[in-house]
Amino acid sequence: METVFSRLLTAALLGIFIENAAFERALGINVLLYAARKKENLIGIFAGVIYVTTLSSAFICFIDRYLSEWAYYNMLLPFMYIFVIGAVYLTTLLALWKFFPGAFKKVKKYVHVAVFNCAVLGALFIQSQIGGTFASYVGYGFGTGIGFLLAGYLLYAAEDRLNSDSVPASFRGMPITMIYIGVISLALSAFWGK
Amino acid sequence: MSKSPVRLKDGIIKQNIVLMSGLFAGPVIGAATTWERSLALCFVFSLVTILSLGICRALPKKITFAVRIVLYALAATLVYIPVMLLAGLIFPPDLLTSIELYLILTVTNPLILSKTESRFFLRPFHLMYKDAAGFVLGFDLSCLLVGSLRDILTDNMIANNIIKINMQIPAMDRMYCGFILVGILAGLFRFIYTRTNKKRQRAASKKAG
Repeated sequence: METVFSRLLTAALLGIFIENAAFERALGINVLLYAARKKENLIGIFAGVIYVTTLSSAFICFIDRYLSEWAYYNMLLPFMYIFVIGAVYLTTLLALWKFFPGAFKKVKKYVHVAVFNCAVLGALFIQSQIGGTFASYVGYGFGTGIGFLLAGYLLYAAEDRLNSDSVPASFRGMPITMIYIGVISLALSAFWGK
Repeated sequence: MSKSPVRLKDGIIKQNIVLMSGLFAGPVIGAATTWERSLALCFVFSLVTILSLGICRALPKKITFAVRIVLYALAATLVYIPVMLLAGLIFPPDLLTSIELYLILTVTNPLILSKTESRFFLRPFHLMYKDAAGFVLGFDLSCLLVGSLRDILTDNMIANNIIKINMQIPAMDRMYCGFILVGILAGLFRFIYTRTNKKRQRAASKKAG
């Protein structure tokens, strides 16, 4: 039990800090920009990312375990991953529609942004390359989602300053946000000694 | 059907998905560290997008959006297989493996998953392709620009040709430099675009006045 928990925690910490999807791999930048722009959906989008990465990682673990020896596995990898993500997405939407119609109405406008993006697909691919046990798959999936939330929060906190008049008009919005993410990424790289 | 005119420069300049909106800037930052890598990314992105659009367009509109978007992504993953087989004949396997993560991400690119519904499918088939070509070209040009600049600044070389400049930034192939470079290029791109637009507007108002 202790080993399972330690594997889960190690993988989660790896996903949150050392292999942060946004800062270390530049994954899901469009989702971060979208979420920072539409602040009212912020929690919903990041909850969606955490949910999908965690649940999909659990399924991907079994697919990797049984099919990774197959010669054409690498070619079919995106198809299988999208199939799993799509199944999780549709099942969840169906459950929400059936049991929580209020929540379904709220999330249906932006849930696809949270589910079909580079961060989710990229996290599954990286986890597949790292390999490991079921606990490390789930831990890494969860950690990636939390790491993405952390990146989103850092952007959200700086959003007003990044769009203030003190920034030259041409650099306001996306350009200065990229530079800001770059500086955080540089700081994290220096911190981890990469 | 949308009746607004289709202009190639919309996708290349005004709504460039890397330098203007940043919709698909991640793979450029992560993969375009050299000219060759950016060329491979452009090749896979362009073919996956253009071929997937045709297949996605054929899907019945009666299907609900939630299911349709899954089918769009699945169609792109099926297109990805022959495209990668073709890429394997053109580019060295090591190069493709080193950017595999970003090549896979082309199946969830915003041109397939969001612009299809909001823009491309509102136009007739031939105009859809003209419009999409602008966006794809916009991505390709930005990607090649970033890749070339990083290649030159990292090693003072481009496609194995030495460029004699007195500046070398070895960290330019790192992720953080990619973010900063794309941010600076996006700012400059916007600056030039607004300047030229203002000049054009002034000239037009002078003519009218």
